[in-house]
Order: sequence, then C-alpha cells, then structure tokens
Amino acid sequence: MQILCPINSPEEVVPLVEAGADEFYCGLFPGEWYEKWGRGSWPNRRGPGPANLSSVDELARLADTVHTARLGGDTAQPVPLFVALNQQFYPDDQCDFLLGIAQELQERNAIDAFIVSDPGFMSLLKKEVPGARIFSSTVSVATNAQAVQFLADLGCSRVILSRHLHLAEIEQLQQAVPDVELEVFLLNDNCYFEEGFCSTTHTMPGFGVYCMTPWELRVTRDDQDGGGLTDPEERARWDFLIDEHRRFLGSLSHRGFGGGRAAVPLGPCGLCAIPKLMDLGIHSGKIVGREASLYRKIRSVQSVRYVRDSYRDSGDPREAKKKAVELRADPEGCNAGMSCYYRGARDRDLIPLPSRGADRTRTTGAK
Amino acid sequence: MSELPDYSHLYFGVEFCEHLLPSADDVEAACAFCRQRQWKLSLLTPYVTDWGLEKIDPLLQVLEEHGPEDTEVVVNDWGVLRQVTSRPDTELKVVLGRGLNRMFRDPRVPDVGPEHLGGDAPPKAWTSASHQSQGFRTMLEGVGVGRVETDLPMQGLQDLGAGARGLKLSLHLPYGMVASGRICMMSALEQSAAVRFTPPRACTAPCRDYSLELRAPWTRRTDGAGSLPLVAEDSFLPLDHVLNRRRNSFPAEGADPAPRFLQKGNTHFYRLDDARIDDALGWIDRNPSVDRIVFAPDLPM
Repeated sequence: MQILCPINSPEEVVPLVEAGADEFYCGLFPGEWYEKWGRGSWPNRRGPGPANLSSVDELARLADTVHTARLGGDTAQPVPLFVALNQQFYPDDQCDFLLGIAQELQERNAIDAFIVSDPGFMSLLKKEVPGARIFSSTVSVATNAQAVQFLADLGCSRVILSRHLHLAEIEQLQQAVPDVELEVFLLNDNCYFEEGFCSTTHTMPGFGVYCMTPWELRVTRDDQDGGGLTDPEERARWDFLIDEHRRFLGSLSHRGFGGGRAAVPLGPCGLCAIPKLMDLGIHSGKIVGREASLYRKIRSVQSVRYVRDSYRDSGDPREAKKKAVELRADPEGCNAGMSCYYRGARDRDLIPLPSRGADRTRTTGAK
Repeated sequence: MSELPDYSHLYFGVEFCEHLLPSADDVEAACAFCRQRQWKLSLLTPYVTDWGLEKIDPLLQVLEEHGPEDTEVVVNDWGVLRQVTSRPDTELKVVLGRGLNRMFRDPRVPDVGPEHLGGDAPPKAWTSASHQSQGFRTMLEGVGVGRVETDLPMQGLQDLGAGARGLKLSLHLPYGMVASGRICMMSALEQSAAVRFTPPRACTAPCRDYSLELRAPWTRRTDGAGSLPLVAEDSFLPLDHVLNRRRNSFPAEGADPAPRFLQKGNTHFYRLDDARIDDALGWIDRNPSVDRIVFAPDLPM
C-alpha cells in the first residue's frame, strides 16, 4: 500500500520522502481565480491559504522537486504528484478556466493525475486533455462496486472511497471491481456527513464548519404532532445521546498529539485497519491535511509507514495493530473508538484501559 | 393540500437512507395504487452500499413487471444509476436525484454578506448547480438521463440558460436537503457504545418517531449582521456549553431572531417559508424546463 501524503511547498518534499511518503497530492487556488470569483468560491475543497498553492508556476516548481525525489535510489520510479480539482460542481466559466490550467499542467508534465469529483468535469477533462489521468475524489461518493465501475467508465483510473465504509463493505466492493485502483483514508480528518452529500461551503467565514455548529436542539415526537419530550426517562436518553454526539463531533478533527515518545497526531485514524487494507490490495492510504504543519505531516507519514512495514515484514496483523496502539499512546481515544475510520478493525484485547485521572494535557496539544 | 393542483405522480421510497428502502411488496402495492388512480410512479432510491444495491434489485424487477407506464427510478447514487441502466431491455426511466445535483444549500448563505467575505460579494456559484453546467448535462445525456431533480436553495437559483432547455427539471418543495451521511445521530439512540456513530449495519429507525429542530447560534442578517453570533444573555460559559444542548421549548418562532432547521434521521433539511415558496413559483414560471413540483407534505424521510 502506497502512502499518499499532502504537500504544499518544495521544502517539504525531501523530509516527507525520507519519512516514507510514496505519493503526494496538493491543491491550487490561483490568484486569477480569486480575482474572478472572490474568496467564497473555491476550486477545490479548501479555501485560499496554506492548503493551496497560489499559481501554476508555483505548482510546477513543486512538481519538479517531487519528480526528482526518487524512491529507493536512482533506478526507482519518480514520486508522483496529484492535484485536487474536486469541488462538487463547477459552473461553465469555472470549467473553462480549470480546463485551461489542466492543459497547461499536462503540457508541462507537472501533474501525474487530477483528483476530480464533478462527473461533468471528468468527462470534459477526458475529452479536452487527452492523456490526463483522472482520480475520482471521495466527494464523488463511491460506496458500492457499481459506483466505482461508473466512475471507471467515465475514465477514472483510481477511485477514492467514502470515509464511511466498514472494512467488510470495502472488501465486498473490492472483490467486485478488482481491476480498479482504490484509495482509502488513513489519518487526520473526518467528515460528519458524507462529503459529497454535504451541500454546505466548507468553512464559511465568520461561521466555521457547518457540521460543528453548536445548535440548540429540540427533540419532537412525530406522534404528538411535533410536541416536545415529556417523559423524564425519554428526556434522559436524548440528553445522553446529545452529549455523546457532541463528544463524537470533537473527535472528527485534529486533537493535538499523543502522549507517547513519537507524539503522533491524534486526529481520526485508520492505523489498525492497515493489515486488512493491505490484504485487500488497496492501492493507497491517504493522509489528510494539506494545510498542516510539516511536523504533523512527517509524524503522520512515519506512523503509517511504521505500521505498514511492520505488517509487511512480520505478516502478523496482531503485531502491527499492537504497534499502532502503542504508537498512538491514546488509550482513552482508542477505547472510545470515536476517532476510528474503521472502528471494527480494533482488537479490543490490545487496547489498554485509560488510567484513572490520566493527564489530559498529554492529549490536547502538548508536543 | 386541497388548494394544490391534482397530483399526477406518486414519489415512493426514500432518498437518503438505505435502511428505509421499501420492501418489494410495498413497491408492488404502490404500483397498484398508481395504476388505479392513473398516476405515474417514481421510486426514490438513496445512496447505498453493495448491500443496498442488492435490496434495490428486486424492487426494479417489481417496477418492470407491475409499474405503470413511464415508471421512473430517482437515483441518488452513481452505482444505482448504473444498476438501472445496465438492466437488459428495461423501460424504466432514470431521473437524477437532488443528492447528485450538487449546489450550495448551506442554510447560512442567506445570512452571509460581504462583511463575512472580506468585502467580496457572495459568489455567483452560490446560485448555480450541477444542472447548469454544459459538461454535466452532456455527461447525463451520455448515460441516458433526461430529467434532474433539484431543490431551490434559500438564496435562490439562477435562471436556466438556453443550453439547459433539453433537460427537464423537478423541483422539491418545501423541504430542501442541506446535508446527509451514513453516520446517523438518531440511529445511535438505540445503539451500543461499540458501534454508536458508525454507519449502522442495521437500524430500528427511531427517525420514524422523532424529529429534531435545530436552532441556529446566529441571527438573521436582516436583523443586523452585527449581532453574530447569538449567545445566551448574561452567560459567561463557553459557547459550546451554552449551546448544543437539548431544550424543551424554543422562543415563539415569530419573535425568535435565530433561524431554525430540521433533522430527520441522517439528514438536515431547511423548509422554505411562504415568501421563498413564492420565489420558487416565480423561478418555475421563468424556466419552462422546470415542469414538475414534487411536494412533500412532511419531512421527506
């Protein structure tokens, strides 16, 4: 399984390749885009800022550095770089603009694949930029084998699966479409909703992320014509659920770094699933966070590499999972399982009970 | 409902949850109901796993055998689209569901102004949608789709361009979908901690009994953007302790400066108010390609 790593500058290439990155992806938010459409409309799923490069030239410079950073010595293949053009849809004028950029990137041999979610744009890209490799973004929403095949029919050579699939579902899907390259999420960021079915803008200035909105909630019973809860026991069940739900929402993104020696990032995690994903022949495991610090990226790559190589070398899934749990050093989080992409992958025997009165500062940002 | 024009179609099924798919017997009963009333039938289908695809297959067979003329399958999953169109000799018509017709349905948009965007005007893309794009329409034509379902976002939609004339649109009223996903808070009501907030493998459907009202922590922009965000008076607690709480009652709706939205099962919805429904009817009048209204008397889950 390849380790797919986010990147946003040439300076990050060497340390990340040395840490174990096999592939890179980046984002682009060109200045011309901003001039035409302002800061409320984005060419990918992140806004202007550190998650994106700001010009084609800057991207081409990054590509030069990435492509010359060979894995495993001079005889190995160059490291590939992919760019995300994965907004849910593009109006015609934005399609035309991005096709121009894609053509330029293709002519400059800067990009090894375009990560796309709008099937209309996929079709245009296939037609207007011959030879372009296209990956289907998770935003396309592939949760079954027929959807994967549909996207492959449109010309996608790789399909990035939904974050919200159980391992058994991935297995069933993969067996039905064994010839399509599949990519899955491994570290750092989750979505509450299915990303392709979330019609909100990702970070509304002044409001934040929609799914993290601290609503006030009123539970109503449909059989009482929208009346509220009156039974104290029923109220208590909902109060418990709402508190748990708030706790779950807090586990969907970065929670600082773990208390172990490696101080790995404590965002959403699929490390325990790596042995099974490797057995299934999943092509790539994605690390999320183009905007993250270099430190977080390095630690993320090292974490995935440590577990992957452990399983590759030992062939023992339990040993690899044990290493994952030890590496993370987050017994409370691993026990709760709320940060797991693939909660069913946990081996409960390996997860230590959190110690009473554990030092909470260790899991909330102290490096 | 008595003031509405006569219905011509029955929309049967569900758009957002594979656990709520009807049984083959229910679909057969819906076919009989429609034939008796000389109505058309549209089977709504959600996004699904392979398990869901298997559940849909016999429903398609029932539709082929018992469905009235021009029976439609509304798909919200590219896999279901492929599943229907690859059936040999099928006469079922595929309609692209609103879930796959992407647009900005963010209910905060009406309350966002240049002051939130560094002085920029809200972008034109916020009133556009997949169905507006030529590339998307061409792709749909290539896979045999001639009708697309849409919501009208709270901020409205641009009129359709001349290029959209070949495509028919159905507009859902009065509920629009904001966001949906397999992780379901309501399903978690009945689940153990081990699987709570994971995509449910089975579900007792508490959404059949309960709904949620979501009161926003912001005020309507028309009430003054300077009052963002809304914080409980005299409170010194952090915002997330004050909010994200269940309450037994909310302020009377007319006197409440905070907008409200709805949750049913795994999906958030907005409801268009009377003024916005008038806007929607005006949009339909200006765009003859929009030749169908899908009216939901209650939350569509």
